[in-house]
Amino acid sequence: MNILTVEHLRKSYVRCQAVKGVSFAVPQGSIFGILGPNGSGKTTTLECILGTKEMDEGTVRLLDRDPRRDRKMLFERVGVQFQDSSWQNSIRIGELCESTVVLYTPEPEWRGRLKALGFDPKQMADTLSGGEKQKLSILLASLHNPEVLFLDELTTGLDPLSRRLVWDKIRELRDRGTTVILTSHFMDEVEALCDSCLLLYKGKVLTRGTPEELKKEGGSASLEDAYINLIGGAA
Amino acid sequence: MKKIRTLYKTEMILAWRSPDSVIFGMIMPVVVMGLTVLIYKDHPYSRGLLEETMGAYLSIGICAFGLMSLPLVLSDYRSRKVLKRFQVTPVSPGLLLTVQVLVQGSMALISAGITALAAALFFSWTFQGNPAAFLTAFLLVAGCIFSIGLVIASTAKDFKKAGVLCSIVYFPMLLLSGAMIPYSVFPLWLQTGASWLPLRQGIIILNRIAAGQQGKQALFSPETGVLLLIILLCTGLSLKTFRWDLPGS
Repeated sequence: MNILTVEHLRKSYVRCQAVKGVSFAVPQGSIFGILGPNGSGKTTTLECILGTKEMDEGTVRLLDRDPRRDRKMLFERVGVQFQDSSWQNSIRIGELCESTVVLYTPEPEWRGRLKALGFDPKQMADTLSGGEKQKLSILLASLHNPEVLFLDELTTGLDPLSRRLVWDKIRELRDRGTTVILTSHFMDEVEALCDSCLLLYKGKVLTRGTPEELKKEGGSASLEDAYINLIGGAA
Repeated sequence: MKKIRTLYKTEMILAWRSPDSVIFGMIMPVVVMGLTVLIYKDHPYSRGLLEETMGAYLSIGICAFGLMSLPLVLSDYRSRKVLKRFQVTPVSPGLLLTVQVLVQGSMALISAGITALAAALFFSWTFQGNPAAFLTAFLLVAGCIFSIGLVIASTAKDFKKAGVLCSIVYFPMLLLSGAMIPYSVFPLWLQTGASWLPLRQGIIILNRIAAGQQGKQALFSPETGVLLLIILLCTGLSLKTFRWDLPGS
C-alpha cells in the first residue's frame, strides 16, 4: 500500500519554476530518499507534500488525505523535521519537549527518550551544538511515534558517530512500521538507509529506483560516482 | 484546556526571561504617572487629577504589551520559523494566538496592579469606583488594543516590518489618547482628532469608573460599542490573515 502519492506536482516562485511535474509514490514501511543537487526542488517538493507551501498544480495524498485540508488530523500521524525550523529563544530542552508533546493526543512520553539520547532537560536549547540541535529536532519530530516521518537533510552537521546513531534510530523506526521520507546530500547515507530513491534535477524526476539500480544506471560501483555521472549526463 | 495551560506556562516563563519588554511595560506607567503628578503639583488642575486620569496610566501597560510585545513576539516566531514548526503539528492558529493574548494580557494586568499600588502608596490615591465594573472595562480596553496588535502580528510581512507598524500604531495611540499627556491640556482641534482613537474611547470608560461613575452607566455607552466592534473586526481579520511562514519564502 502506498502511504504517499504525488501526481504531476508543479510549483513556481516569482523568479523560477522550482518543481515541474513530479510524480511518485512511497510504499508503507520503507525509507524513501529524495536526492538531487542544490536547487533541484527537493525541499519545495517536500513542502508542497506537507502543505506548508501551496502547489500550483497536481495532487498529493498523504495517508489518503489532503495535507492542506486535513492538516490538524494529519499531523497527529505525521512527524516533520525541517532544515530551517527553530524554536523559541531561551527555552529549556525540557520545556520544549513538554510544550511539543502536549499538542498530541494521547500525549507521548518524552523524559525517558530525552535521557536515552543524553540530553539534560534543564539545558537551554540555544546552547546546544549544531549536531545536538539536529538530534533534538529529529527527536521532537518523532516523539509522537508518527506513521510517516519527514526528515529534510537529516544528518547535515552531525559528526560520524552521531550520524550512525541517527541511522540506527531511523532503521529502528522503519522496522517498527514507520515510513521515513528523507532528503540527503550524503550518498553513503542514502546507500545505508534508503530502500528506494527519487533523483530530482532542475525540478524534474531524472530517475528512480533502489540504490543498487541507481548505481547500475550511473555505471559505477559507488553511489556517489553514479550520482555524479547521472547528474553530469543530464546537465 | 491542558494544551492552553502548558503553552501558557512555557510562554509566560519565556516572557519573563526576556525582561526588556517586561521592564518597559511595568515601569513606564509608574514613571509617567509620577511625572504628571510632579508637573501639575501646584496647578489648579491637580485636584482630583489621579482620580480622573488613572485609566490613562493603566492603559500604558495595555499598549506596551498589546501593541508592542504581542505582535513582536508573534512575528519573531514567524521570522525564525518557530510557527512553521507548529504548522506541522496538530495545533490551530487560534490556540497559538489565544495563548499569546493570555500571556501578554497577564503582563498588562500585573502592570496595572503595580501602577495602582504605586498610586495608592506614593500619591495616596484611593479607588472610588466599582472594582468589578473597572475590571470589566479594563479587559474590554485590553481586548480592543490586543485585537489591533493581533492584526499587526498577522499582516506584517516580517519582524522588521512588524516593528515599524507597531511604532506607527503605538506612539500616536499612546501620546494622543491622554495616556501620556493629559487629554484636557490638548488644544480643542487635537482633542477632536484624538477622540477617534480606540484607546481614547477606552480611557474615557476607565476614567469614568475610576472617578466613581456608576459602572452600568459607564459600561453601557457608545464607547463600549466602538470597542466591541473593533474587537470583533480585528480578531476576525487576524484569524483570516494568519500566516505560519513568511510570504514568498
